[in-house]
Amino acid sequence: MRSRLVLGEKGIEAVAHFTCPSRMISKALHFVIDTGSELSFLGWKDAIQVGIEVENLPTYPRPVAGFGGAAEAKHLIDPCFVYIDFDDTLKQVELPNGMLVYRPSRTKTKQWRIEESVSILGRDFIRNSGSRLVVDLANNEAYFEG
Amino acid sequence: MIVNQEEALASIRRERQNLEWINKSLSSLREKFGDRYIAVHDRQVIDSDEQFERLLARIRKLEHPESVTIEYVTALEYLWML
Repeated sequence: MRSRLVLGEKGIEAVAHFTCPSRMISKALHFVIDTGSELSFLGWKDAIQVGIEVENLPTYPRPVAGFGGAAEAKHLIDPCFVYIDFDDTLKQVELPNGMLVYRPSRTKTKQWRIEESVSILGRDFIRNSGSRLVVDLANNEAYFEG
Repeated sequence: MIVNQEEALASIRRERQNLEWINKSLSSLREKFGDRYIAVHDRQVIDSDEQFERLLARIRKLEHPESVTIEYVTALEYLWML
């Protein structure tokens, strides 16, 4: 069975149904697939849209390092589930340690910049999904298989 | 919370349609909505704003806010890297 991925401007994206039952969160979102990221992240914009009060989340104890430098991340500790469409059948992938919420850099006006916000499914998701990630850019095709 | 399979599949299909439409329409969206957030429902821009929270507040008043995809459209065509 396959779950087709979307090739977009920001990368290879999965459209998935995200739930966090303890917080009554349930919404379809799109995530960039990032094999360079150890953990999965909710972008600031998506976190606010699903109703998470980000400022009240605990700070993740490790700094998050990327090409843009180190940054602080909040931790949505509650178990989360990501549902992917495999040929019209839902496959549930649990993220038992929750998700991180990435805090973007501040602007000079001291307001959070959320416009660059993207949500990411990292290696924790790929591992827990038990699926193979197949990327065939020469043929404009990417999918999860399994 | 138990996820209803049909509802979840339908929400994934709607989000995918909106996302693919946004990707396909990016050049014209940049011209009309550059550096703004857009709200897309059923492959149409139904609202836009420079401020995310302001747009989200209006979308939440709709009958089915969960079926709306909100995306930021940059005026410039960036080279993205993670």
